Amino acid sequence: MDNQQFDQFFKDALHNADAPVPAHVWANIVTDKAVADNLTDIKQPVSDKVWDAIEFDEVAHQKLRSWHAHVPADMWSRIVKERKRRRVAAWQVSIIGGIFAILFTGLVWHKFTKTPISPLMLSSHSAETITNSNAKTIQSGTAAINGKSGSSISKEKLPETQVSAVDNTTNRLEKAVGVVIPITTNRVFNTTKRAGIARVNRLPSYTQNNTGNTNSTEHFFTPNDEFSITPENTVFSKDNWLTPFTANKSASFSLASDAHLRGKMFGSNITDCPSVNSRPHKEWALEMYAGPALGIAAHGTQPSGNDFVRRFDSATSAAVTYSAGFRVSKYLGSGLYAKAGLQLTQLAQKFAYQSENERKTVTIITVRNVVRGPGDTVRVTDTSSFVQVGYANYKSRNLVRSIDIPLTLTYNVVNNDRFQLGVTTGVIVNLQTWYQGTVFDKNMSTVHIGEELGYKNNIGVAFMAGLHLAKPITDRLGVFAEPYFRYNMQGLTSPSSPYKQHYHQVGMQLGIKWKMNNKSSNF
Amino acid sequence: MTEQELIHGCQRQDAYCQHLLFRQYSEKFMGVCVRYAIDNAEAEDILQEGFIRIFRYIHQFKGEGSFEGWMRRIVVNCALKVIQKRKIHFVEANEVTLSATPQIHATALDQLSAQDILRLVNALPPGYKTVFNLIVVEGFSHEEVAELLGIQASTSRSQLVKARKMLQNQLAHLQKMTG
Repeated sequence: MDNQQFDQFFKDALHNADAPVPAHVWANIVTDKAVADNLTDIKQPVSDKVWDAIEFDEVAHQKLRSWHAHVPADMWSRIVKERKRRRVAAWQVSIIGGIFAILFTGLVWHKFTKTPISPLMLSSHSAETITNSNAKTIQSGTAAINGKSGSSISKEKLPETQVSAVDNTTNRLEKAVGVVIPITTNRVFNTTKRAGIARVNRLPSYTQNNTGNTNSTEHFFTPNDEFSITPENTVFSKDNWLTPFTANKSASFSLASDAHLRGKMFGSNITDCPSVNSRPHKEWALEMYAGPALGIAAHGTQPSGNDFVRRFDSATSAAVTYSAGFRVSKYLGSGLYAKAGLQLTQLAQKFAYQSENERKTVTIITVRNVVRGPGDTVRVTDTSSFVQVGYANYKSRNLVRSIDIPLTLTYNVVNNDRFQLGVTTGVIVNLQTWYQGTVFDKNMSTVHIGEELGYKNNIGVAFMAGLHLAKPITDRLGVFAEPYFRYNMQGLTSPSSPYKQHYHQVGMQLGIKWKMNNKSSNF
Repeated sequence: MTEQELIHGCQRQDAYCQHLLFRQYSEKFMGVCVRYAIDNAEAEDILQEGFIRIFRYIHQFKGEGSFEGWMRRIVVNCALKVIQKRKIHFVEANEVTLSATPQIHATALDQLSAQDILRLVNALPPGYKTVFNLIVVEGFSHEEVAELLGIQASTSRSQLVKARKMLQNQLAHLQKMTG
């Protein structure tokens, strides 16, 4: 029997099947019907309270629903002011949130993108040696503390012959911050010093020859140092931060490029011993700048039509002015700087216009001599005047000045002692904007710029992006140049203005950078 | 300007249209605010907040239903937020005890002005006043009021019954005084 036949069987069996009905079902139906028939037309006295309530509610509804109350005269201005305040507050919150998000992302990125330990080739040089045949442990000239013990060396990862060598003849170098550098016999450990090191930490390096004499010399060992272990027979410690290497491999280390290794070796002292590529986090600098700025008009759709815009455009031309300010720069690490400050920006616009119906009164004085007879000459002066009606050409220099707070991040792609090249981006929060000059009103008459024309006192937030080029001059002083583009989110005029004035800005900031913390090695 | 143009203007954030809308409806909505507020200053705050919200969310009005009703709902919601901040205690249904309600002539009700009724309503305890306003004046159901105020529908019913009874008592008292 297939499925279809099975279904058909049950259908036939159940379709016309009868089931017994209990006797009380009919009784219930009869009873319910009788009750329903009797109650359908039953009347019950209704309390007057019900009608009172309905009536009262109706009266209250009618009279209160459409009732008007007096509104204070200044209510509209309060609403406008409050809306403006909230808009500004919303912007501020979003800007601050954005900055925190960027900073947080930067910090997370910085945290998780540390350079892994990488070998570098180095050069060795001979050094003044001292004989230290007896010492098993040579401590640095600064302070000796408990460092990593020799037993922490991972023996199983070292070749067997070297393990025994370590066990038998390991010398330990202990640094105040806990660096342990066990060295076996017949090993040469050299360091190469780089020029321009501001502060040093002292670590001995030494050579032990085959006769059992250990030649040791003290080197100034700094976070900028590069050091290497000679090939084939040098054993270096491994305690989870140095990659072990075998006897037939050579390896070199650069403290300058290995932040991780440097941090392990110098610990918290790292901020006092800055390196080229990884600057200390205390680095603060003051930047002062000034430079040319040029406004770029972005009219868009104009409420007053294109004719108005054409005439307006023909009457105006952009003029170069300036922006100037100062800011504080904080180094965040990995070439990233956060900057905040205060700046004054002035945009200029030349406005040439004709004034119609200009009236000029011209006075003409005519002098003539009337000869009435021989020797009788009379000098006659006639004065007349007339009014000329025409037009006059005027020129006005319109100025838009604004005080802003620039909040920017600079990321240096090239970041060394001699030169820095990077990109800068951020927001510029406008605090106050004010105007000076003359423009057309809706009827093409010239009027002074003011709030009545819909010019705003605050133009909100702008985004900026630019390049950052810097050149250190001394340990603390440097110069920089920053070509930038500023994109203003809002125009100068409100929607109620007869026309839309919206400007962006290009410019160049030229300035000096004064390092406030002299402990850092460079800019 | 038609209502549709006014709405579109406000949706474009046109300041002129917004002002026009305010002038057209502010007094009416002030009447709403006064009924919920404890004093005029609070009513003004509610009205201000109401209009700010209307201008902010007017783009959400899709033209379905009455525009005035939509705005009124916003204003009422603003008023309810203020009320909720005041943490009004709503008496539960089982706490209500009813006594005999005095009889009031229909003519007496007609003679009352809106100001008189408002004065009587404003004299109610805040919880009664809120429920009375929402149900009798705004036309919400008990279930809707319960949802708006976060109370039980039965509580809303009891509040209304008690509010009405208090009002009728006051009216009866007035009736006696005026002879």
